Parts: sequence; structure tokens; C-alpha cells
Amino acid sequence: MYYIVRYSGPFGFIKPWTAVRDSETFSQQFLTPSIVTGIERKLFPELLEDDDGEIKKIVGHRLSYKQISQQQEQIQPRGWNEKGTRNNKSYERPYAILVRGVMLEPVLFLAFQNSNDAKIATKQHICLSRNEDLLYPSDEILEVSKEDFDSDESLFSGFELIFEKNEQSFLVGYNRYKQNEKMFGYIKIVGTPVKNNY
Amino acid sequence: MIAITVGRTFLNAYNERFEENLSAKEFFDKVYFEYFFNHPKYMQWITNSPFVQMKSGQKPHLLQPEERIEKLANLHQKISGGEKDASIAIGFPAAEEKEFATTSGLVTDIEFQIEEEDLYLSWIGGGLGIGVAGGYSVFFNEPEILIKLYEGWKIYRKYLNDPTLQNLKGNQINTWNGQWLNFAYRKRFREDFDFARLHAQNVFSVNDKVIEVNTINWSELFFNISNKFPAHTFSGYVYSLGQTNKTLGFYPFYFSQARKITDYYKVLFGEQVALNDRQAYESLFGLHIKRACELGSIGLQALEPKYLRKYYGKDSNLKMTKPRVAQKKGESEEDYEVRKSSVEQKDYENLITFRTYKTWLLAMITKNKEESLNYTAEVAKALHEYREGSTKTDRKNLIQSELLAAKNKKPFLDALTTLIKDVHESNLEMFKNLRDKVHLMSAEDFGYFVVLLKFDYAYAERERNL
Repeated sequence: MYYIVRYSGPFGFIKPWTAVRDSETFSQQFLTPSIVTGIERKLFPELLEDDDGEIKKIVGHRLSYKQISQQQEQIQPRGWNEKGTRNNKSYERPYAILVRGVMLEPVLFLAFQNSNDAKIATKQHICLSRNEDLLYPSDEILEVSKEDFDSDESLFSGFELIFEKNEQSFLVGYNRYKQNEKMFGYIKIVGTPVKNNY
Repeated sequence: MIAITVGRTFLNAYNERFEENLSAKEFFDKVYFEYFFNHPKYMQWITNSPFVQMKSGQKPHLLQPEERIEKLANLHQKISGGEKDASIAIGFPAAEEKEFATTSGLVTDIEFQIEEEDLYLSWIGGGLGIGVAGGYSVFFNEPEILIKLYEGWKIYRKYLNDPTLQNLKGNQINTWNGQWLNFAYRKRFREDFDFARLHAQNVFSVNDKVIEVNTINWSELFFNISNKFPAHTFSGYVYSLGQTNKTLGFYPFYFSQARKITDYYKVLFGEQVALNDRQAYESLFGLHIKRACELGSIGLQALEPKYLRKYYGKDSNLKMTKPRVAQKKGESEEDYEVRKSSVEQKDYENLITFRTYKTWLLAMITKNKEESLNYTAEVAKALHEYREGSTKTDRKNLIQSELLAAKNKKPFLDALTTLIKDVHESNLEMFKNLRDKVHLMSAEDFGYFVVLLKFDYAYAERERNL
């Protein structure tokens, strides 16, 4: 049996690991193993003791959203630049604009194998994946079989990265919880994950 | 950095196919450099890379062979010296030794283990991006596709070196890759082709000053790849590298859904028509690549025809009436023929637009279930019969500005209720049926259904005027 907690919020943005010095970056639409690990550690801080970087409690996820919205954001470099000669030295961090494709109204389902874990999870918020993008839990825990979670297209539609290596898998980044080991997975899609009505 | 992965997939496939055992560096020296850079015209232009950094007086197209070898040596040197910025490795962040650039905050602080070999792989992968209209490229990490692209390199190089094609622009490898793949995966591809045939296929645009490779529409490419891989789903990585980089990320490409469109087209309009219209409709389908990516996956929904959206609601309607052209007074026979054929051409384009819209809408409505493909056409016919039952314009107005302009179910059902009161008995059953159907439709399906009905209504008008 799966115990499923539903999180939702106004925005979400997951930077693809391949994005570097971009002027425009869309959000990734699935969670990588290290993101799941991170969410898990936030929900269950006791796991941080003797942390081996393994995923312990979350057995599946499903992410869907209304649409991608492109938003302009002001950015600055990560450090100070020195300008001028010895007599009129100045330090500056110039501004620039970055376009982010942000998920609007993301809905994330997290599946737990243990009902007690799910209960603890329904009392906390999580982030996706910036700390201003809060997702709040609904108080109800859905109890469904693994089969239903994988096949119910109207209830659990969304993207899920299955953390396995097969023919469809691709490199989705480096796991900083596990000495930057390469992460692989393939995208599973259930139903229509992007609700684009017009 | 994903270019490394693509480069590695390709190199493995290459070594296997040609029974070689080349390292990335060996392949780069023996093959990549030879095709891409060891000629007056390059195939690829990487800003600030050693290949494009000129000493004073040097011009890329005037370099001597030994000068080009020197540039290669410069690259080797930088790589073995541990440099790995955007000019040394494809898809990496630009250097910021002198100062932090504004976008530097986006670069990860994870220390990746990147070997020298990987940097060469990034170049190899970088030459395998598939350019599509809208300024983006796609990586498919699929050995068979990558080997096909490699075969295309040779042809692009051959044309670049052809003295009769002096005006052919270099540095367009990604754009070329897109056109080449599209051409090579066509249904009627034949091995014996030449520049003229490619030109006839709209691969190149030619004027007196310059010959360029045109960028392919992603939808056309999508249809042709689906010829080759009819039941596959590949994950494609959509990006753009240049003055500034863009990352749209990984998207599943459902090639099987292109088949669905082609099949519906055949069923609706006949095998022969589907064949004749093919080139026209393949480019009509498909949103802008960026919009398509917003939908999360590339398939049926992303194939939505351009401009279809303006027909939702009241705003626009397709004009489908058959044009009547008569010779004007004083018009010469020749002028008349020219005018007539241009009007007919326009009408044909209109028809294709109608067919494209209809195919896509039907495919969307029947996505999850089997429905009669002729249903909306039958309803449209009945609507016309109803309309002709009155000589006044009230019925026409009711249909056109209320029923078919409805943006959701409520106004549609309201108009239908008014309509049913005066309907002839023979059609009563049909309209009652329609009411029940609409009632049960999802909001999404209703959106598609009502536009489809609107188009069929316009088309039925054309048929009745014949």
C-alpha cells in the first residue's frame, strides 16, 4: 500500500543541471534522486544523522502543473568586481535579467510506504526547488495500491523520473549527497500532466 | 555539458560500426578536426575557441594548413593545461577569470570530475545538435540517429568544398543536421541525390550573394523521424548555445503520435490526398518549439496547428466557400488564367488548412476513446438543414454567433435549447443526442469539439453551394 501526500503551491522551479550562464532557463519537470533525498531530509531531519545519501522513505513522486510561465528576474554575479585604478577604485555587482520558465500551480504527490511517515509529512511544507517556492500539504492522506498510483490518470497524472538505468534513461545530473555520482533515470508520464485549457 | 554524453554515445556507436577503437582525442584529431576545421570554410563557429582566435593579419578563410594545425595544437594545449570554459568545451560556462559575469550566479559550485577525454567528447557531441526553427537545437542521445548525422557531415563538407558552390555559407552545422536528418529519413529517400535535388526540397535558400541552409520546422522533422521510428519515444534535450545560452531541458518525443495524425488524415480525406498534401501539412502542424516545450512533452498536443487558436470563440471563422472566377471585361485570356490559378491555389491552401485543423481536432477528441469520425460533419449538415428552414437571418445568427461561438458548455446548450424547438422532426433525434453528448464532455474536449463543428459547418456550406 502507498500512503500519498499531495502538495501544492503557486510556483515551482527546478534548474536543469545542464543550465549554465543561461539567459533563459525552463524548469525541469521531474525530481532527481538528490532532490527527493533533500525533500526527505527536510521532512525527517533525523535522517541527517549518519547520512549515507540513500532515499529511505519516499517511494515515488508525481509532478504536474498548469503551465510554464516565463518570468523575468533580476540577477547579479556571485561576487564583487574590482573596477578602476588605485586612486579611484570601486567595487560593483552589475545587474542583468534572466528569463525563467517557472511552473505555475505545481502539484506534487509524494508516496510513502509507511502511514506514519505520511502523517508526519502532511504537517509540513516543502520547496520546489527554491526556498521561496513553498508547497503546502493537503491534510488528507490518500491510501492506494502501487498499481493505482501508477495507472490512475485522472487522480495521479504527472511526470515522474524513475531512478533506473535502462535504454530510455538519460543523465540527469550529479548527486552531491553521494560524492557527485552520476544520476540516471527515465521519464514516466501518467495522464495529461500539463493542464492547459483555453 | 550534456554534449559529453551525446559525444560518448556517438563515439561508441562509431567504433562499433566501423570496427575502430578510437579514443575521443584520436577521433577529434583524425575525423572531427578534418571535417570541421581543416578547410578554408569551417563547419562550426565556437566563439573565442582556439580555432577562431586569429593572430593579427590572419583571416579564417585564408589560413594555411600549418596554421590550422597550429590552432589545433592550441586547443590540445589548453585542454591538457586544465582549461574547460565555453571556448574549450562545448556547453560549459564561460570563463570568469578577469571578473564575474552577470550570469555567473547560475553556475553550480559542485566540483565535477571531468577528464580531458570528456572535453573532446563535448566537441563531438556539439557537432551533433539538430537545429530547428525558432533558434533552438535538439540532442537525441540515440546511436542510430547520431550515426546518420555523421553521414551528413561528409555531405555538408563536400558542398562547402565544392568550387561551384562558392557562396555556400559555412558554420551552419546544426542547421544542416536538421535538414539532413529530415531529408535522410524521408519516405522516398534515394541514395543518388545532388545539390539540385536538395535545393528543390527547400534545404537551401539561394540568392545571388549567398547560399544558406534553411532551418527545418520541428514538426516536419518530427513526422519524418517517425517514419523511421514509428513506435518509439525518445527523450530529446532542447537547448541553444550562442552569444547567450538557453536551456529548455529534457522532453519526451512521442513519435507514435505523428502516425496517428497521418493515419487520421488518410481515413478522412483518402490515401492519395494524404500523400499529395504531405509536405504542406507537415509544416502546418506544430506550435513554436518553445510553446511545445511548455506543454511538457512533444506529441499530439504540441502538434497543434499554427493559428488554430484564433478560431476559438467568436473571433475568427474559416471562409470555405468555393471561389467563382469569371473573366472580366477587357481582361486578356492570359491575365484571366493567371488570376484564376492564383485564386485556385489560394483555395487549395485554404482546404489544406481546413484538413489540418480537422485532423488534429479529431485526434485530440478521440485521444482516449473511439468516436465516429464523421459525427461533427453530420451535425454540421443538420445545422444547415435547420438554417435553410427559414428565410430570415435569425437561425443563421443563432448558429453562427451563439452556438458555434460558445466558449464553454453553458451558452452552447442554451443555444441548442432554442434551436431544438424549431427543428424538423427528422433531425430531432440527432440534436437531442448532441445535447446529451455535450453534456457529458469534459471542458477540454468541448473546446476542441465546438471549433471542429465550426469548421465542418463552414465546409458544409461550401459543399451545399456546389
